[in-house]
Amino acid sequence: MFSLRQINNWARIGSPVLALSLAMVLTALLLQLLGYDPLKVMRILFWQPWSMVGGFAAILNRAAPLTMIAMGLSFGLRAGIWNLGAEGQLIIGACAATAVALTVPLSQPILALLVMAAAGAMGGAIWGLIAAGLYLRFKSNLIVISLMLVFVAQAVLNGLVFGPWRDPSGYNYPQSAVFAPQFWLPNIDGFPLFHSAILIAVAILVGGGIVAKYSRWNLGLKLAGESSQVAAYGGFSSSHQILSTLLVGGAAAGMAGMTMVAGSLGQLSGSVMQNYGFTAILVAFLGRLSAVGIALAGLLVALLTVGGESLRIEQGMSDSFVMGMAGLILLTLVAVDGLLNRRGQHDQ
Amino acid sequence: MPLNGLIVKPLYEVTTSPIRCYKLMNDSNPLLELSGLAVRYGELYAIKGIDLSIFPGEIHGVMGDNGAGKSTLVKVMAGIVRPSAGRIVWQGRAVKQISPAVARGLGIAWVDQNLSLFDGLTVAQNLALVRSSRESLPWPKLPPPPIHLGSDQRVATLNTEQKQLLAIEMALAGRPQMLILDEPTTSLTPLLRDWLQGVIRTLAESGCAIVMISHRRSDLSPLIQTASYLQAGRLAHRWRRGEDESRLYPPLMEPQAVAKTSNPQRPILDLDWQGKNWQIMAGTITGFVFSEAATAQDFFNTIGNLSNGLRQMIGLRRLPSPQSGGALALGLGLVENIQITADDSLSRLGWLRIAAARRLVRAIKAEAGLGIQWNTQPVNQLSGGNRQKLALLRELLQNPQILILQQPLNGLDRQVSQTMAKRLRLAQSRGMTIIVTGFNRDEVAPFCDRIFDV
Repeated sequence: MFSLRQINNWARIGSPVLALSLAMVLTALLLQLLGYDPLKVMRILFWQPWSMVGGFAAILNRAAPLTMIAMGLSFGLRAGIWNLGAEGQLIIGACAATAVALTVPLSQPILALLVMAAAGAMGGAIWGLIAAGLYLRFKSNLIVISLMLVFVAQAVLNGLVFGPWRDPSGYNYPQSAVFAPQFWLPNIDGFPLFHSAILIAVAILVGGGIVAKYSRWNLGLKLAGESSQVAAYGGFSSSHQILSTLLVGGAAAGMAGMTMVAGSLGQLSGSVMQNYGFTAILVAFLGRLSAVGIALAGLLVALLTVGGESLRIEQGMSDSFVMGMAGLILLTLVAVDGLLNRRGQHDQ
Repeated sequence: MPLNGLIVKPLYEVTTSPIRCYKLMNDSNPLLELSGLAVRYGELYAIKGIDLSIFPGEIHGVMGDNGAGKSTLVKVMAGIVRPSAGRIVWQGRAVKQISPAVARGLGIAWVDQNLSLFDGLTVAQNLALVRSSRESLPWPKLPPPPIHLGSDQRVATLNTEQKQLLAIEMALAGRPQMLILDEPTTSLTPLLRDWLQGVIRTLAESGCAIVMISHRRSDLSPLIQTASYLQAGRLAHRWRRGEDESRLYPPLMEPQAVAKTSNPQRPILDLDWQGKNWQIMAGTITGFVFSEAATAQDFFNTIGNLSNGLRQMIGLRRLPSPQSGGALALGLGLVENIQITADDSLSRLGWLRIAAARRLVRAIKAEAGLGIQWNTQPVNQLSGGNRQKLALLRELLQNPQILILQQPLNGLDRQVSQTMAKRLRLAQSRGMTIIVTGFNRDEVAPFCDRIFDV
């Protein structure tokens, strides 16, 4: 049993590393076949962004909303509560935050941002609760319900940016007016390129990590993920778990939505979300639902995006090729990691 | 090509010559021969040096303490566990790589102690999964089960007795030549136990070999013709019918005279259930013996499903039977399993008190010696007996006023069940009120003050 445990432990740490290496080898082979210099491409994709402050900041700025959403989602996913609607919760959070910025006359910047953040989190939470409520009422499929609500949220967003909120001086682009400066999320003091959303993400990750480790709520979610019978025996109600995890997941996504509109853009636009709500599901699973893992996975996914942009500029690679390559890397990572883990579990 | 009921599939290598095979095809030759069999987990041997032959129509009992390697041995036969050393010969042919599929192909069926069923599927769908090419084989007429399972019923809605029946029916549906039963009767009421005995007899008469693990002497004694007694992974004793049985069933210590509490008894619980009324006295162990599984489950649920708040107020804890699969989260570690039923001592305002849980884990390890080193190791690495000890001690050590146990000594060997019975006695002598439910008067009698038949 001793060596079995060693193997399992080794697999836990080693499998992501092995998976990443294999993913890179596969990508390198593909690049070689297509006539690119794999080493150069890899250097631009994986290394170059770290070597410049701007690139580093871009990675962290992108990782921030991803990790926030992923941390929020991790609780439900742990219990097998499949909330795939984070994208919708993100959109509604962004809309709610925008509503505050456009309509509430607040001049004190800190208060303005707090109210805006609260609105964003509440918007996302309500969207999550709608999914939970529909699920509990009609006992339909949560995956479908939460996913369909994304389209509803997108329709709401489009309705707003094409309709009442369209910026009169925006040349008919589907976007809101630019917020007043007190509704802008500032950069971190002393680090001009680093967005303060990073701090919010760190706070959410740390808080989420603590809740995951020490709360009885999360224990119940773990039990539910193992067996609904055991969770019921422990006195955890599944409907309570569905409501609470969708509330938490929605709030985190809504918060991310707020940081996205109040961040670099300072306005709500029809295309602000960039599928972060879906990518975050990948980040959550890649990070094995743990706070540290999610932070690492978020950084990796952000790195692939930032590095991918450099590739487009420096190597003249097409958009779709870069996306395909990032997709290949992530797919291999998930597949190999999953395979190794399964094997580990099976051996027990 | 079917050969004496054996469907030859290219799943395994045939290393003996066809002539030898033919020579072995009469009934006086063993169906299954194991020689030098060993299973090793790391440095630890679960079983070692096992030589065993099972003949057609033989009913063979596998006995021994918890953790002696009984389940591991039959899991090798069923192809679930791969041996680290040794030879497996089936009807004269060496089986190179045993796996569940190979074993099934050979005609070996296995009823798992943990009842591996598909909870999300219906009874009929579960049965359909095991229908095999062996359906055309001759098969004796078996007595019909006394209870009927609705074929459209989802397995998740069955009680443990019905699940156990389904698991047995699934094994039979494959028309095996060898049927392995690992603790098949733990959740069965006497009615179904009698049925199973009838099935086993009929099967054996028709030439099917039966390998059976049980802790119940009443299950094994009337049936088995041969037996192996395992001790710490070794075959310590072989037995044939006619020989002295005493080594198979180590002597039980005489049930101790009930230490009556000296203080006058006061009722602590007034149970009204299905028009009947029972008064449970404080500081006693009361046994409820049921003749029907559904009633037993209903009774346990009625008491057990009091709201959390009410339960905490009257200091009541409950533990479902080990077979129900509801007491432990097998994929999680010791600490998490301790916290499942955490009340105020282990959690406060929704936050877990990890240090207190660790202390409790240490206390349980000290008492039960679980043989698990890390608190994060999943408890599915524990043997069935140790799991039950863990669950039982978890509830006992949190000192409830009233503890309700569903078949608490199920699946425990005689020694462990004696220790646990003593442990319950000790808790009772310190003032705990314990209610035990079961199907068998003999099982609860040795440590109960009062027994009610329901």
